[in-house]
Amino acid sequence: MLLRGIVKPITIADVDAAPPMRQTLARLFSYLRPYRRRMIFTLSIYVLCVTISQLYPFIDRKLIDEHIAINNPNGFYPLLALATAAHAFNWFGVLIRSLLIQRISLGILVDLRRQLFHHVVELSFTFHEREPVGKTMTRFIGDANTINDFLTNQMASVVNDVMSGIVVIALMFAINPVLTVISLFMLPILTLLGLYMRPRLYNGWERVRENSTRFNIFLAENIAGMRVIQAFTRENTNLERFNQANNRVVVEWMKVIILQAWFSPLVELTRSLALVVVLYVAANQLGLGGTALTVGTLVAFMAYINNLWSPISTLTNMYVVMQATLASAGKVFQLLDARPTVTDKPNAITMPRVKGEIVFDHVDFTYDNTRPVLNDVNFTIQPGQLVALVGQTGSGKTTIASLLCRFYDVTGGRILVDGHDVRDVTQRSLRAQIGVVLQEPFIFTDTIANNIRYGRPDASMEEVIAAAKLANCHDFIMKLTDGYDALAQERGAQFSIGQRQLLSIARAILSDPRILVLDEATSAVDTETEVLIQDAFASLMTNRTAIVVAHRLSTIRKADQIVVLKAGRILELGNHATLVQNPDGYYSALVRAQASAGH
Amino acid sequence: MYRLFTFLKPHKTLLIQLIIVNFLLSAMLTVAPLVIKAIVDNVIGKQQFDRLAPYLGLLLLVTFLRASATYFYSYGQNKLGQLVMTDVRLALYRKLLALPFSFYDKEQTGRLMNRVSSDVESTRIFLSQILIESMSHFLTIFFAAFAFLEQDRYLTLIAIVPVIFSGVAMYYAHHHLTEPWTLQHERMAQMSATLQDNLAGIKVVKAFAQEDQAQGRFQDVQVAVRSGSLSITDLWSKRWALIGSIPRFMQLALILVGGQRVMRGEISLGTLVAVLSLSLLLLGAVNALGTQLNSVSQTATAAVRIFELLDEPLTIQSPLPSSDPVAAQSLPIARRVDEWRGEIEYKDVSFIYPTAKAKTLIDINLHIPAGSSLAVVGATGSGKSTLIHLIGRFYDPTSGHMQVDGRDVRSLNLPELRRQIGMVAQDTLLFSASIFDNIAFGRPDASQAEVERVAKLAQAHEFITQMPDGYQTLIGERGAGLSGGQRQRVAIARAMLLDPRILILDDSMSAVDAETEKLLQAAIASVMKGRTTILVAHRLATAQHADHIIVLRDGQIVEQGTHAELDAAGGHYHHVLEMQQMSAREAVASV
Ligand SMILES: Nc1ncnc2c1ncn2[C@@H]1O[C@H](COP(=O)(O)OP(=O)(O)OP(=O)(O)O)[C@@H](O)[C@H]1O
Ligand SMILES: Nc1ncnc2c1ncn2[C@@H]1O[C@H](COP(=O)(O)OP(=O)(O)OP(=O)(O)O)[C@@H](O)[C@H]1O
Ligand SMILES: [Mg+2]
Ligand SMILES: [Mg+2]
Repeated sequence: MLLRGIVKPITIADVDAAPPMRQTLARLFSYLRPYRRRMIFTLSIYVLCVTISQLYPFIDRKLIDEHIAINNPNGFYPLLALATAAHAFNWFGVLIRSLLIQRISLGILVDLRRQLFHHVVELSFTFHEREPVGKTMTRFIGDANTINDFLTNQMASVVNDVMSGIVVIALMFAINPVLTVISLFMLPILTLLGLYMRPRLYNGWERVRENSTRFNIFLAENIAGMRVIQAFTRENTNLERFNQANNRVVVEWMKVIILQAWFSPLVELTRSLALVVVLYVAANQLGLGGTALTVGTLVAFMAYINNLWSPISTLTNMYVVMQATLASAGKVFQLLDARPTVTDKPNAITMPRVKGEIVFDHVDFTYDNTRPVLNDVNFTIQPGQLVALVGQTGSGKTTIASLLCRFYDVTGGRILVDGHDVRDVTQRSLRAQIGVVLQEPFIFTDTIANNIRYGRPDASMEEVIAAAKLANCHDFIMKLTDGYDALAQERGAQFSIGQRQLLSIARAILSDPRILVLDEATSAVDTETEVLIQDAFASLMTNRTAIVVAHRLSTIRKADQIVVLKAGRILELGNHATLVQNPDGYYSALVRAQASAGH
Repeated sequence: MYRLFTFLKPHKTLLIQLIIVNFLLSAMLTVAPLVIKAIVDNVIGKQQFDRLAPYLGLLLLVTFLRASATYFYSYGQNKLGQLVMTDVRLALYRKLLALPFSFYDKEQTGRLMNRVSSDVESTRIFLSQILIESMSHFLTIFFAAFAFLEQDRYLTLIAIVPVIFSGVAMYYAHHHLTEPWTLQHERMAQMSATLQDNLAGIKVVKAFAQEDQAQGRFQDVQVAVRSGSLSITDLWSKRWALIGSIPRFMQLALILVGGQRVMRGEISLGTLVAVLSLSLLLLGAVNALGTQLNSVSQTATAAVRIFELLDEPLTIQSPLPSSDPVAAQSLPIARRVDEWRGEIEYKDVSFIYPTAKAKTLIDINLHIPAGSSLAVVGATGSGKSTLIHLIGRFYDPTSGHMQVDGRDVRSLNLPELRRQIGMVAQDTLLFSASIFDNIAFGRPDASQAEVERVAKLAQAHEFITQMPDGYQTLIGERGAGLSGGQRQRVAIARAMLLDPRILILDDSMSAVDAETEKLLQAAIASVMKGRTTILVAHRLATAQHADHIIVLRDGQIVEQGTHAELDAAGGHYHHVLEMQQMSAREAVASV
């Protein structure tokens, strides 16, 4: 309020722009809760140490004034010994507290990251398709570190500083109240300035975080896509983009620095002013009475002013740093507040063992609420049937498979598995019984064996090998130096695309699903291998339901049911025999086209 | 570590300015106690209070100068930090752009990111902050020692010995921290990699309901990071508690000895007071040096990792113009080939992946005349993709020669060579950008009309215009938001926009339905008339129109010829053709 009259008034807009600091802080501190006891204990050690070290000037004054200055060796040595003992004790305290604070600090960091990871894996496909990996990673690494540093090291230093400030002020009062009041006159001004600066600094740091996140996204995508960049000789363009992304970070950073760089010199300046004023007043007092003040008092006072200002300057620094932390925390909480679009109902049941009846009941779906992707899709699959989804690219085949696994929720109609609406059962119990081979195979950087047993981590080596043999992977795995223990490179870089598909098939086989979903699972596999796999499946699939997306006739023909899709609608439905009856149909055309090939 | 300083070279002026400012700052820091001493001795001691004002004025002046210098320093130091960081990052990124495929086969995105962000960050802090500040602390110690000498030689000795002792202790502490830090960087890289891997594969994680497993894995690596951190901080805390406690002990020693001397009348009380306030300075400097110690160890080890990456050999690059005339003669100079024809020849080419046990390609001899089309068929893992990667020098053959237009590719200017090749890789990778930007990836200056033209050829125009924002529709990382076949067609358009001499389609229509594929093929055939086309396919219907077809098996060409020849030869090709046609014929028969 006072400030409004003096400096440029704080406008409502500024206050609005500043985040609700109290809420964010309260949420940040909730991470300290599990460590409350330990934190209090550690902080008491801090307080103890601070108190002891603040007694140093006091003792020194005594030593000088009462012994050295008046040439009185009596009691000089015991006092000195006491001082030494106090310091030794303090030293020990410092060691203990730093061991303790690190444990708390790292504990919080682990908690925060675990919470983040737990949250992120629960988020739905919609989130992961929208949010770049680099962005999420930034929250885990950069932002989590900032928060952690704030909660422990900096909180400890705040406590440390506030405590030492209080102790110093108390001691100063004990020595000379007048000088104390005089030396404190700068404090309120500093406080007001800090309040004025807060929203500006916060917004500045927010922009820095924003831009460095963008930089990380750019970098992650570039490294992952380096092969394409090189193949298209895009190096120069991307170098330029890299520079731009980097420069934006630098520019924003420097903007904040200009704002905050005058803060600590200012604190310095106020310290000197206080010192000068104290000296001036003290000198006058000395000059006047001579008894009120001793040289020792003056020396102690100067030391105290130093001691008082060093926490003040760290506190102001802290205040600045806190704005950066709040900006990071804001981002982390934003991620933690992202809600999965697909959630289990509170009363969701565990899916009982699936028999395999699947009903798509007038299903409508859209990804973005503007473009309908599925329209009134309606079909029933009996347990144990093999169903083929065919249709042009982009007609919605993958979407149907995804909806069955409940990666997204339908926007109209419903999907029933054994009569249970997929929204009424828990996602995990549903997915655990569906084995999917996604259209884009993904291999983890782990051993081959672990990749194959991904869906059933407890599977034995024999089972792994059996699944690999069924999927025709065994031969090429055995050609690797370490066989099944060989480490896959990122995304399975050392395998051909067809081999990656085969590994994904082995993974789905081993998960022993009740429903198998193969989304163009053999599109990159040669015909001979494909036939082998189909034969393997034929025996494997007895009593299991399978949904297969395929373009090749050899697969489609054998299906119990063929669903022909076009632009999200079912165009034709039936089996091979019934569909070819309609010579004008899409399916008949498909058959004729493939039969004529090669002649 | 010392190599790090090369990054400071371009910013010498700023660095020198900062060092000078720092020097001044330290100098000014010692001025204040001296002024105070003068006040105590001359003003208070002699009871001449009228002389106080000039001293106070001096004190204020010094502080004001110091404050301005601090401002400049803080600004300059941040600027230096950002400049250096930019340079290091740029150097790393340049390197990443130049490193060959084989490097990316063995590296992980998460790890590399860790280098370019975390490792660089710690060097930034070191070079811009710690280095200069340490210098300033050393200077402070130096000045304080000097000022001590002024006061009393005897007391100086008491002050110097602990300082030297601290120095030695710090050196050893740093020494002990090196190995833990090296391990710790590795653990952090591993955490970054695990995180990246699980996020990239999140669809599989969820599809197999293995969220718990993923979480367990992440938890393992992050707990390892925690233990590593703990062992480092414990180690450091112990050293630091020792070093940090020394100055106060020293102060007490000063009081002891100094006090005795004052009492014996050997030095003045003012001297002792000055010495004590100087010792505060020393205390501050030693403390500050101690706290920075951990970062120094951290940076030293991070720097090693950065240079490791910068020193990674560039096995594939344009031939360098050699300074040695003899070598220059024997090695054909990379030159711009103005008239590319697109003739390709494999001469006794064999290839083995660095990590593999056996050869992937064995004695390949193959001539692809300019303007002709070649189809490559063969079983999964037979080496088709590997074969075509050799043309653009994404890998170099381990033996034999790869020639384009009659010249060994190793003698050709690399970007120039790659610009002649339009490559549609087997795993379609699009970027999170608009569809327009994705198609214009190889030619960012392309016009809307050009982009639309190739999109039409690639049968992509129709679905793109149906999207809410048409060509400006943003897609997610790796092309999220498009169906598999849509992604492939965007990738084909992207390659066609280059108007390449050589077009390579590596199984690029696998996710496209037969009808669309037919249209696509016709379009490609019309544009690629007179250009060299290489096509990898599993569907022989796709391959059959090629001028020449080769069949690969286990890295060797086992059959070759035209469709008719191969069909007649009754070999592998014929067999697969039979298999593919049989089902179709049966299907038709049942109509
Ligand atoms: N994650 C997504 N967000 C938004 N739109 C999407 C997403 N995935 C697919 N689409 C759109 O939905 C439509 C159907 O896509 P889908 O992947 O189901 O096709 P598909 O039949 O599997 O095609 P393909 O044979 O090419 O794989 C397409 O137009 C596609 O652009
Ligand atoms: N980066 C790599 N490092 C090590 N081995 C590799 C690497 N890439 C491929 N291989 C191996 O080399 C062999 C040939 O792979 P390539 O990708 O050329 O096969 P392909 O004929 O294209 O198969 P597909 O039809 O499945 O695409 C395979 O056995 C594969 O495991
Ligand atoms: Mg699909
Ligand atoms: Mg391949």
